[in-house]
Amino acid sequence: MNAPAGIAGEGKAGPADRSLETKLRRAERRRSLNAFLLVAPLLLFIVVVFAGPILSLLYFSVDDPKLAEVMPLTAETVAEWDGAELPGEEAFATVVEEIRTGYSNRTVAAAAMRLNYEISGFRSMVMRTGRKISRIEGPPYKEALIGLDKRWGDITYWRAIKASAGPYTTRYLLAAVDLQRRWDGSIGAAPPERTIYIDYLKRTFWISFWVLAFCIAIGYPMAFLIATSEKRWSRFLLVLVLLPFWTSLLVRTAAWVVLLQNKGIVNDSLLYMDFIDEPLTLIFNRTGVYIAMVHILLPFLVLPLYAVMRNIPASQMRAAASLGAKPLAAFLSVYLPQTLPGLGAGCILVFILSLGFYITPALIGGASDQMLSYLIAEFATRTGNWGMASAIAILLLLSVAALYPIYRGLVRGGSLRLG
Amino acid sequence: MAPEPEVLVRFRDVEKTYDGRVNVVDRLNLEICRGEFLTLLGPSGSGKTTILLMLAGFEAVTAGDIALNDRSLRNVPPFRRNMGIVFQNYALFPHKSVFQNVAFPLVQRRNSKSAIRQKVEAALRMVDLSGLDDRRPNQLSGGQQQRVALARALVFEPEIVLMDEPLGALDKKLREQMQIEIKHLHEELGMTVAYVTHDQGEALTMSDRVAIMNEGLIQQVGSPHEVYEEPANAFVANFIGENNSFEGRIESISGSECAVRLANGDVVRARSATPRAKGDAAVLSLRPERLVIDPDADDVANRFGATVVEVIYFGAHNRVRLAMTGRDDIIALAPASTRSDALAPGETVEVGWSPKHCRVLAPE
Ligand SMILES: Nc1ncnc2c1ncn2[C@@H]1O[C@H](COP(=O)(O)OP(=O)(O)OP(=O)(O)O)[C@@H](O)[C@H]1O
Ligand SMILES: [Mg+2]
Repeated sequence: MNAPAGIAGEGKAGPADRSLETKLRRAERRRSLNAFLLVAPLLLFIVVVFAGPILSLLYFSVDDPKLAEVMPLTAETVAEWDGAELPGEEAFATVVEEIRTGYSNRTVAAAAMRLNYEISGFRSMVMRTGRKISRIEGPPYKEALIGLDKRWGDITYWRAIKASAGPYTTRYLLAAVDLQRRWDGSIGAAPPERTIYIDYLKRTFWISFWVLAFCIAIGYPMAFLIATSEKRWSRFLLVLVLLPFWTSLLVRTAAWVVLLQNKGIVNDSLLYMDFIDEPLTLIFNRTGVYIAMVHILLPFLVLPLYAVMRNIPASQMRAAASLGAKPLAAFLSVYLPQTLPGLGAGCILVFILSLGFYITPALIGGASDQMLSYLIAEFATRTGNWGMASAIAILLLLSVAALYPIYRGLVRGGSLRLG
Repeated sequence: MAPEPEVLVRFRDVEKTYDGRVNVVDRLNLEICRGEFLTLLGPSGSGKTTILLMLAGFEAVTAGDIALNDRSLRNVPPFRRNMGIVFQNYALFPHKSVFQNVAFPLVQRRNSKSAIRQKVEAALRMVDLSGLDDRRPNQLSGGQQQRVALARALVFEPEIVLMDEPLGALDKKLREQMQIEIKHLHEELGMTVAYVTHDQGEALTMSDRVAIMNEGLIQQVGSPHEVYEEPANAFVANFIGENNSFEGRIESISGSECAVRLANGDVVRARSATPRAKGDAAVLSLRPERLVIDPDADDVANRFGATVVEVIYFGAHNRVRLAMTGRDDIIALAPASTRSDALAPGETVEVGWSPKHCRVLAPE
């Protein structure tokens, strides 16, 4: 109704106005420079603390220096080889020489380990060759090497060397989604014994989905109760929700291990009250994982929901009722839409946190209840395969990032569409 | 002349307590007639909102009964009471557009799409909001939000519209404008309105009848003129409008007039509505505009000398504080004139008033 202030003056812009404009622009530039200088330390901090680890993760997932470090000439030779048929004498000679030096100064193991990622058994094959390498005294190296181990005559092993030549590789990233690059450069499905990652990803999402569903089912009424009950009750209930935050995740998980055992408190009390005749299996299976994860993640749903619900005045539901809405209709069309931003925030928190859960499934779950983080830990700590660990971490990161637009849609939909 | 008013809502001996100790509403007997504009007026905490909440069904009645069209509302849930409510904070739905807000009660009543569109548009036109259909409440000014709330409460043609201090959040000018608009809507649509306010000016300008509340008890019910000119007790006299009150004792009674001796010995002639006996303690109530400075007419039976303490200029009138009858807080409203403009503190003047404008009330 009121015309924006700027419109009235338009059309009268003369030279005086233009100089005013430049003045304004200069002032704004100065201001934004000042602002930038003010936040610069913070920006640096964010880059170092947030972007840094992600970039290094990316780097580790494609970095592949092992073979080239130990056997630089071999790496160079196979890089030029087209991989169509067994390489020539020269390549064999290089390999023999570099295994010889590598074996004597004990560096070859690292390269052998890397080769083993390509074909299992390659590591022991290299080590055995190293042990016997002194038997080869001169050319022709090809026959001699094949004589030591006839697998050296198999072209797949040479292709494995070529794939490991580095310095960068896509194998970890591809493997993380159950793919592999074939010798001719094409991308195809990984062999069945290695196609576990997508299964893990699916399971991770599945578990997270159910944890989220239980959290909503329990957390929404809980938040509602806290937000609408009398002050002293709501404070008491809030403390109950927050209490778990005061102890560490590990302690809470350990507590659930004790509680959920066959002779634990939960089973004992259920038995005592004659609800069941024999103890339920609540631990080392999916049920236990759900129970513990829901308990640990519930506050992350309840708190944002509570924050939103607290700000919805009681008069909203009263207004709905006075206008003729039955309780359920009033809830669906007036209350729920107004809580969607909080619900969305809570859901995304719970879901993302549960995607990354490690300790709880590891301690309470069975073998078939482990999630992606378990694989990351496994590769990082047990086998020292940082490439694979990083690649899975990136897979996890990307799946989380993919959720962000969904969250945005949900929140925006809450205020626009569902209304 | 007018046909016997039809009673729409009847409160019968209604009591309400929240904590089981104090009745925040006590012995409430009140009738709201069809088509009337009834205002509950009272200071903060006097139980006005509570009465409205009980009528709307959001608070249970502790004792007594409320009937709508002679049918008890005891077991009728709020969503079946068919009452339009305008809340003090408007309670517009922030996630819905203006159109959707106003359409809400019609959607709940499963009106057809075209009927909804037609009624909502009519309602928005009625409150002068045409063209703002797609805005959200937070994109509207306070006055516009108020109008949306009004449209939403009226669009489904409820039996009665309840308004709880609907103009409390608006500035003075807008408030006065909305008062007039609400009044006009009431006259045009002939709806029944129960209106809550603690602003006496609002109550007097808008209402057909005013019910004055204090501490859960109705003090007086009557037309604005009645409650202003003939307050039933000292509370009403002091609460509505400005009031000079004098304490004294009844000295003599003749018909409806009596003489009251004030603490300083002065005798004032006044009108007594309720019969009282000689010697009773009494409070006199005199409106400032009835206190005349330099009276010349003969019917001003009460005449006293007074000293001007303070003159405050109000444009159309001057507010003069006088020292008289042993007090220095007597207020007179003198219309702007050369005489009253020239009054200076310290000046001695003669003041007076007619007995018919001075009422004898029971002490509080
Ligand atoms: N939910 C409640 N629980 C306990 N006491 C209440 C509740 N609501 C109101 N009261 C008390 O009841 C009394 C009347 O309250 P009410 O809200 O009806 O007053 P009001 O006349 O509307 O006042 P105001 O003009 O300030 O709105 C007050 O003393 C108040 O403290
Ligand atoms: Mg109130």
